[in-house]
Amino acid sequence: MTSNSNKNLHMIDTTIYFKVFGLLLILTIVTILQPIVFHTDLRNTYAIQMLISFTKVALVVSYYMHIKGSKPFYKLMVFGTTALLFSMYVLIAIDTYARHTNNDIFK
Amino acid sequence: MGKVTAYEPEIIFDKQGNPHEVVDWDHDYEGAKLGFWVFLLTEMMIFGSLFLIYAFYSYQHGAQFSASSIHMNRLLGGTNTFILLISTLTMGLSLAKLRNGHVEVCKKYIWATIVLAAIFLAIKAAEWMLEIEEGFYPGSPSADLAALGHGGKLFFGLYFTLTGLHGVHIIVGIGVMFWLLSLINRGKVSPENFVVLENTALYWDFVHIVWIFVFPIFYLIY
Repeated sequence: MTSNSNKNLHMIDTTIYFKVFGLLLILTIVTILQPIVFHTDLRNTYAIQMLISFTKVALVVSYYMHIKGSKPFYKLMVFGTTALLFSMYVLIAIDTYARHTNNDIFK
Repeated sequence: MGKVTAYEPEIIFDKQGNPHEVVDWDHDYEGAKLGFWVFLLTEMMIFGSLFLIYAFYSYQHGAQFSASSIHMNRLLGGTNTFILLISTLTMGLSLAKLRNGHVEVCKKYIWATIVLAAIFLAIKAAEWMLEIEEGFYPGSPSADLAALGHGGKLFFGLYFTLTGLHGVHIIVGIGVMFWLLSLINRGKVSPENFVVLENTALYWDFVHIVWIFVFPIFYLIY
């Protein structure tokens, strides 16, 4: 018996690492330039910055963390946890929006 | 006299369905990977909760958060963003090189990641010192901080909490990479047995992901 269960995995092509790095680099430059080139109000700045950030995270998780080629179970685990965290954000957002306003159900 | 039970080996199966006995802690590839992902997801919840606190207070003190962001050092923060981005590449390449059998090249990439992580920490320390000198820290008697109101105090409180916790993760990462190098030197991590390096790379990617959110919400909302 061998001690390792993962002996037969394929060789890794490093080209994808450099391609993803190039995309991340471009997105990072866009992140820094956005407030200078396209200065807008706080709400829009958050929206643009978060859009860029989530795109970068999707690239890192998919390619650098190998979720794209992983078993469905790992994908489910990552997306499930993200959905759980997102639901917390939605619940708090509803509460934050409604608290001390006419929409406040506890008033 | 105690009851004597027969030895029952722990068996794992590879992708071809062949059985293998688990004889050491790092021999169960799937178990090690799954366990580490669970750990990373708990980390995601910790940082996610801190980002949630940030979002809550940012909604309540938006103008003061924006005014506080003007005082951040974007040159140092931006430099650190590029350093962490490059370190993620070197970490990923170290795994690829080990998997492809190039052990010495893999070690060089791990060393490069350690050096980049140390530079990141040095820059972050310098940045903290500058901010503390200017009076932008929790509990500071500075008039500049007082002028930013309650939102300013919350902003810098969250900034030091988040970047501090992130810095602790960088320090832990450096320690793990040194341990990893010793495992490679002793042949415990090899092109056939690489799960420790794979998990370290996952950890480093997570540290990068946290910074992807930290950088814009503190430095770029001015």
